[in-house]
Amino acid sequence: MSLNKVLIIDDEPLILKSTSMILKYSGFDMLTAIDGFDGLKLAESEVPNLILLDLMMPGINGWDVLAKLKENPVTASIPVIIFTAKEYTTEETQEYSSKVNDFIQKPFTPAHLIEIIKKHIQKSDS
Amino acid sequence: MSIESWSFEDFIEFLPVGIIIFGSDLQVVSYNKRAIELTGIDENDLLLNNISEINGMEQFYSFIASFIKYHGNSAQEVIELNQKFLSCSAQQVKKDDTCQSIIIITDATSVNSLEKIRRDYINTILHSLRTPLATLTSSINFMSTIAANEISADHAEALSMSISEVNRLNTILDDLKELFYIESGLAHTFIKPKPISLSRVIDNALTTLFNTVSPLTKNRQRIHISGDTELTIIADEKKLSNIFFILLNNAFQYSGANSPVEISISKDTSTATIVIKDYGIGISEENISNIFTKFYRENNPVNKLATGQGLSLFFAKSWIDLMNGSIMCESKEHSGSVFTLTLNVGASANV
Repeated sequence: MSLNKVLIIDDEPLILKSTSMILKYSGFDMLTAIDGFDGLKLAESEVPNLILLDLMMPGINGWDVLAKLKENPVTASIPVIIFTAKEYTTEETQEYSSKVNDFIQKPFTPAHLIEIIKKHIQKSDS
Repeated sequence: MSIESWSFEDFIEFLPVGIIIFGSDLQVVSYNKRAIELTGIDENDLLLNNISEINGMEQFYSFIASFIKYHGNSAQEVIELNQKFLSCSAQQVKKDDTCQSIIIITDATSVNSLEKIRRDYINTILHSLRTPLATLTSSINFMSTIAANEISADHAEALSMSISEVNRLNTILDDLKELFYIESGLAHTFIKPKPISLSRVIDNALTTLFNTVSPLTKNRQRIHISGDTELTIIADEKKLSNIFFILLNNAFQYSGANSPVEISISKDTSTATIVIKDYGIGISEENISNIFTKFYRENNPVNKLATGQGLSLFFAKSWIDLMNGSIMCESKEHSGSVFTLTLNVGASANV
């Protein structure tokens, strides 16, 4: 079974486009969602192997999307990487560190992004 | 009745500021009415409970608890409570065997509402700049990885210049953000001192240094470490690694290509002292008092070629102050510089 399906949830169209281009080139199957509501629907219907989740989004923010993903038995075990330009405070990191698998600060280099994604996809496979 | 015959409680009741006095166990020893008005705390709650158990007092509790825990002598913070901005100053008072903390509270709402608007505005600008830069950074790096073998030397050079300038923009934005956090009094929310291994922090800084600085200085043989590297200290790991990076990078940059850089570590009962010594160009006597000032850059041949903003030592000093440590510099022109850091020592079992 392929373990390469990655969902990005981000309200910035160019971040979605450039990140999925980079990850497609590295062999990942990409799904993109422009807001949290779309992201939750896609996560449930497609059950990706990993989710990259932005925090500051209109409508429903990243932390609320995370809570809904963890409540739903279909999506609860999908690894989630927080993927944001916002600096998280130590309180946020402590509060959410048990629910998220990693944090990637934007801007990021493709090599760093791919390394982190591979680490968590392999972990959830084993 | 003359003021000499007043009790302490009478006296604090007449002060125009809120006063709460805590014992070392965080129990309230005394308070005045103004403190109740400002904080909106129920008097019974204040006397009967530990303040950690009072609803809505989390930020206030965290300020007092970290002040008492890390044995600061004095501290100041603006806390949002009861729909007000309260400026809280803490002062430790020791007499004989007892140690109490006096918290003086004043209403700073009008000043801080404006400050909050300014803070939100700058934060939004920083975030708005970072988002397009993120797309630029990843796309340019992606191009250089996949196209490296397919483009001409001129195109490769243009791409490489673009990467280096995008990196520079990222660094400037990081510096602006840090400056904004420090000047707005928000930096402490990103710094949480806890027990960490000193050797790990020094290793992190050296790894970053040898991965990023110019090849001329990539000579690990220049580093000499002595003393108790297995110490556990109380600090924020990421920020302390940055501080070591700044100090070591300077030591390398401002001294000859083969000149040694020495790190020595010692401790007494509660304090670790880390000394970083180089044998480089040093700092002139008239300029040494300015080196921790923001945007200050000494006029020397190395700085003429460098691109920095003159912020790194200002950041180092601000971060170390927030970890309840200290930083000092002694230097002699043409002989070298000695930076001395002190930090609280932690129990190794907690690492």
